Amino acid sequence: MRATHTPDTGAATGGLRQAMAWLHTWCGLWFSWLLFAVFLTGSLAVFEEPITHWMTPEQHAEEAAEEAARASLPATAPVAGRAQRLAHASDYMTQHHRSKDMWEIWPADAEGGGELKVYWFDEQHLYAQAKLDANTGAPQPLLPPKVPARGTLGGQHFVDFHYNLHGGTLGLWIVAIAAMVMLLALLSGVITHKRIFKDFFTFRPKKGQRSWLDAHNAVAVLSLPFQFMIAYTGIVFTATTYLPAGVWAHYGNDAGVHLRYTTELTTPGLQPRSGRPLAVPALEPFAAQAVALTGQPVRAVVVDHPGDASMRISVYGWNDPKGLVRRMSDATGMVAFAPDGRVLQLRLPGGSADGSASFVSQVMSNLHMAGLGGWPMKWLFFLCGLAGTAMMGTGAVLFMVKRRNKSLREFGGRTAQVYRCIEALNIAAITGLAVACIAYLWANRLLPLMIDQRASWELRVFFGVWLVTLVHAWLRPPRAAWRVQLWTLATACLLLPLLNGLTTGDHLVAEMARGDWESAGVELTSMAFGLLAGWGALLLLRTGKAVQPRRTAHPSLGSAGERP
Amino acid sequence: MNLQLSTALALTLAYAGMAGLCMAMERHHEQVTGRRDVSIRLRWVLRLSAGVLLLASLRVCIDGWGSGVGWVAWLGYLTTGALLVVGLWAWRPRLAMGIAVTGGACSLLVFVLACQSSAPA
Amino acid sequence: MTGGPGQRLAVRVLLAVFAGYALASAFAMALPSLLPMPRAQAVLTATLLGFVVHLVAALWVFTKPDLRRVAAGLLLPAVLLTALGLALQRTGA
Repeated sequence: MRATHTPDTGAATGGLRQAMAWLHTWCGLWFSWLLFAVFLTGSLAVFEEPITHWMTPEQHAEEAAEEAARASLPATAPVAGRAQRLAHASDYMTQHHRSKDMWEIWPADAEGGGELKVYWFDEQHLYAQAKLDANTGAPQPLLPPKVPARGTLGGQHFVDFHYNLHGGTLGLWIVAIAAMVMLLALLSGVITHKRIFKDFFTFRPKKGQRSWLDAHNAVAVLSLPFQFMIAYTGIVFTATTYLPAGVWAHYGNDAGVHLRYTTELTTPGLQPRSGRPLAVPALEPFAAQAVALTGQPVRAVVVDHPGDASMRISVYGWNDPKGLVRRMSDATGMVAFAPDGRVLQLRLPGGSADGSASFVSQVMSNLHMAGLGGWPMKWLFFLCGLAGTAMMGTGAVLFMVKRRNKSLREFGGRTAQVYRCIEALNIAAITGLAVACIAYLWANRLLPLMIDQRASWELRVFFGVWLVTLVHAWLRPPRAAWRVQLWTLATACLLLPLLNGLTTGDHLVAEMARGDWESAGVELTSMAFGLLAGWGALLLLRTGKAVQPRRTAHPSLGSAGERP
Repeated sequence: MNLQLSTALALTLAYAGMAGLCMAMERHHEQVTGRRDVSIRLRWVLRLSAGVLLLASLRVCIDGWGSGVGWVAWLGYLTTGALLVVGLWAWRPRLAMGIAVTGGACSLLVFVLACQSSAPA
Repeated sequence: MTGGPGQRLAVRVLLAVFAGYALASAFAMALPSLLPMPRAQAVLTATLLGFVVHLVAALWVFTKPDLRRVAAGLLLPAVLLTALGLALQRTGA
């Protein structure tokens, strides 16, 4: 019988280490550019709020005024109490939405004041809402969202790009596939790395290919727990979107299957409507009992099947930022009651009432979002995210550095052209994307305030600049392209505070003086990136000088191309 | 102990611990001292000291962030510390080791004092 | 199996992606039938673990030179597990 395992492209040949090396190289390379982008924007997304704050300077005065108003509110201010608010809401819902399957009442903010809002599901099972006056219970007109002075997506752009490339469901799937390939690359990389402990702290600078390999190993191995965690938690954020088979097998396969599953997951024990009428009881005693059990002020009261004997009243709490620092899960306190007051389910803040799988899933989502641990943890995630970004970048560069010295002819006759493509893609994906990110911030300050769809224009600048860097990387020799893009990046990042000063009149020292550490942080971090890019450009200059004379003096000698 | 002090301590202890592990390896020992031979005894002294420092870092993390989140924080500080070791060792090995020794000693002292002040009399 | 190296590689990738996904799906269908926990929790657990199954399967595809064995090794268990999951369907919470 003819052997079915004639050697082919190198896949699954040789021993385990060799096969894994092959898998690591190709999984790594083809997805390095996309993953670099996902990781850089993901790292920036950790600081979504500070970035949005920096990008909406006209809002600062308003935010400060709100803060001051909240802080100065006297303790005995005549603010309608919770009981009154809940009563108004209940009356309104009984009057107007008696037949709905679910009422959701948000009586107040965490301090007991603020708006009174009610929600329900309309015919398309989408959220509908109404705002009520807290004192009279009368419905108030929902004001259209205020037109912001400076239209911008803010930091949300980095979040959106990170998880779906601004590409809806298709983009979501692409990122998820990239994350799975990343896990494959991580596993194969670990298996193939022979001296993982011996080389733990190894970094030999100024040695060309050896240095790139050392750098790639260092950033990858030293942040390995984070890399596995972030990739896996990113995928399982919406696990059943990608792997619905389990839901389909056990919940049917009609259109409503996902809703049935989600309802059963989040409200276990909710019985179907019985048909026996039962008046909705006064909600305040339930709210008070929930506060006593969970220790959290009331955020929302949800009534499932109002008016029916199968009714269920659930009270959700407000998380406090301090508590969130020490909790693995960001789940709020929750108590589910039967209409007679019996406690059906109790979830303490950060705990679990539904079951271990829900808890694990909640923890994993919270991990991915760096929702735990407070500001120090955000910075740790930022650093580890950048390490992951560097892992992709060094890997992509290493691929070409190795093959610049000696072509491995993986693509036969067209190898040289493919290598040229990869060089250009490396540049556009690494420095090009970084330039696009800082260009986005520059666009925020330079685009005229009153143009239509300003937020979309900022995005167009982001994508447009990125495209320009790709064209540039294609048209220019690689070395020149790297140099120009690195210097552009360094300049744009370092001059961000100056740009801010010239366009808004605000500057770094003023920001620090008034305690606006969000804005100051954005500008200082930008400058740090600028220094990093400048250092990269200088290194390029230095290695350029070192390489050139040797080449012209001894044209017969190849460069020291080492194979790991 | 507030979060800033926890951060500073956890990071310094993790860095010093990683530096100890690094110093126990021949290649990196040579970068600092010029001598490649690391006696078995010195190797184990370094490794044990590193272990103590890393465990102290873990304790700081668990005290500062609670038992679950504390482990996550610790892994983050281990990564940061190790990356700092690699970076500094490649640039100025003796300086890197100097910082490790002074930083490790100071933070260990602060750690012990903090433990004593929080322990019941 | 004959065919150029490019074709063999393409088949291998397709197996890793689709046969691996089939196995992961089958696993996610079968495991809830066996887990002693409420239906929704069981389905979630199985789905979370399914990704690990896909990863290991994909990794395995790139260690075995023989493509026929790889295909069988993924698709046969996939069929069996699917049948198991559908036969032992969880109907109530």
